[in-house]
Amino acid sequence: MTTNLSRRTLLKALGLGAAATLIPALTRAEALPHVVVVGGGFAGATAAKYLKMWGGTSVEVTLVEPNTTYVSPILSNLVLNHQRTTSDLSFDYTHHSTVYGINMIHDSVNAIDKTNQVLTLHDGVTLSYDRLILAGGMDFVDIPGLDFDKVPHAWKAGLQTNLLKDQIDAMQDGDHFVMTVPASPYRCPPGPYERACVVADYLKNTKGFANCEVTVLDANSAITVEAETFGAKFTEYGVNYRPNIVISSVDSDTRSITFSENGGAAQTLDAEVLNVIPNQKAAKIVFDAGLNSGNWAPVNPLSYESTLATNIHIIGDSQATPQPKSGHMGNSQAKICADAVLRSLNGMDLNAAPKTNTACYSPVSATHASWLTAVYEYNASTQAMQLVPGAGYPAAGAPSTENYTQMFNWSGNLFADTFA
Amino acid sequence: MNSNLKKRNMKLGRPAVLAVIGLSLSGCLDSSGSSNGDDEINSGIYFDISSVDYSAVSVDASAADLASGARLLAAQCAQCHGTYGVAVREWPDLWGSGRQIGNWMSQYQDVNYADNMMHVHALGYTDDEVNLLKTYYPKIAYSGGQ
Repeated sequence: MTTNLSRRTLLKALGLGAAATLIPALTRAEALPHVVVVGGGFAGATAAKYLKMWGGTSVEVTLVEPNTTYVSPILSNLVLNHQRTTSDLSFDYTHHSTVYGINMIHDSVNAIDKTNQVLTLHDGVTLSYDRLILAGGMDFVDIPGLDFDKVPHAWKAGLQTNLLKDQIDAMQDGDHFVMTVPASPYRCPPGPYERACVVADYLKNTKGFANCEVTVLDANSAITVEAETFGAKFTEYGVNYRPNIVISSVDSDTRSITFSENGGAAQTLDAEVLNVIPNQKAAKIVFDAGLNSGNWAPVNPLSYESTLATNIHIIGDSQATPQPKSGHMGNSQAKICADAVLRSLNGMDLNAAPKTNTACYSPVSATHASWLTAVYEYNASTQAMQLVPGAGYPAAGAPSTENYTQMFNWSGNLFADTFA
Repeated sequence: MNSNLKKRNMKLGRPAVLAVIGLSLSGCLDSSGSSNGDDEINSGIYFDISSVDYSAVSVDASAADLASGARLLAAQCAQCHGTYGVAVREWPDLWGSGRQIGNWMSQYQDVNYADNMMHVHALGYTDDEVNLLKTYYPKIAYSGGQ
């Protein structure tokens, strides 16, 4: 482990614990600036990598992530129709430690002391930071009766993905698959519609079930992205699409869901497979640290520094800018943040005109995919990120076999840029 | 993967040679139809990211003299073209390219490719920004495999 960490471990052993921050300023100034990144998904893994790639020996970087393996939610709908496995989509942090010299700590954070700039980890170790980057992804808003071990969300990939896959595999002809779409904003805007298409195609064309019903209960008033593409596919597959849904409860044992539609009376639907993707909010760590305003964390998009605390940055799904919540976008924001942190540690001005982008290919069957892309720019007068005008963003492409092939070129490079 | 081949692909739009490259890769990428889990741990996409070695990238010292913001803007290409523009799979490398990047960007901006993500993506960048990319990528060299 690093000198910085061992110094703290030593202090802890001496009974000084978190009092590391009480060490005279002179001692602290001799240590390298320490940046701690919490969360090793697309945003956090990219931030840690680029901080060391660009900052080199001028900065010490620690990445705190509970899991040793990350399973990408991107492409994980292809596990449901047996085109990929979760193993195919699994990454570890070997490159982070061996190539980039990042301190990897596989633990979770118990508390953030914003005043003294100290994190306490679950195992009791304390880490002081000069800059903290929170990349905790998103969390789900509770739904009464919902038990994810029986009714999977499969919106964080891994065991959940395989649980849903196994449930779909057990379906018989005539069974009913019901899934829900969360209210915007949520992680991966095309993802739920993509999933409905992939599952409907799998049941109908791979399994040969003519009598399975697929129902999509959407919290939004209409399909949120690529409406033409997904709408046409829903018609082709016979997907029963129902907007303006408010879920009130779930019975996880009987796999039934109670909801209202268009503000009407409560009704209940039974399913053989029920896939509830609840409404979303910033990660728990953001709420615990008091960095949220409503469901999300407000930030300055020039640096992703919280507007509610100094020296804490929030990137990816948890932050509140209007940019879409996607792995690609989390990676994009991570670079703006890493650059800003290094500039700030060196007393330099921030880049005044950052640009970010997002892109995504969505499978709609085992052979066809569509795409969606957008480029964002900083508007100095509103101090917010906005779509670059004039290019028709967000722009979409129709499903094709060519796009299905391109999907793996896109994801392969995104995975490499994040984890290699 | 030969980077010159990839570059030629991009310059020519989408020629037939692309299909040949796709076929040559399919052995390590295509796990369609199989649902066996752990025996595929090093197949598919996982295999891809190990096909590049980013520690074999070198950045010319003169990159430090470039306009502020060049490096950060260039890094926004990496989501689809790999870190430092060292790409995996079939999409083109950007490292080592200068004038060529300018040509590609203006080609993608001017020509209305049907159903092409890079066409609409390129529309999001100004001439000044393309010029920044042109100054940055010639500073990058790569000596690893692909």
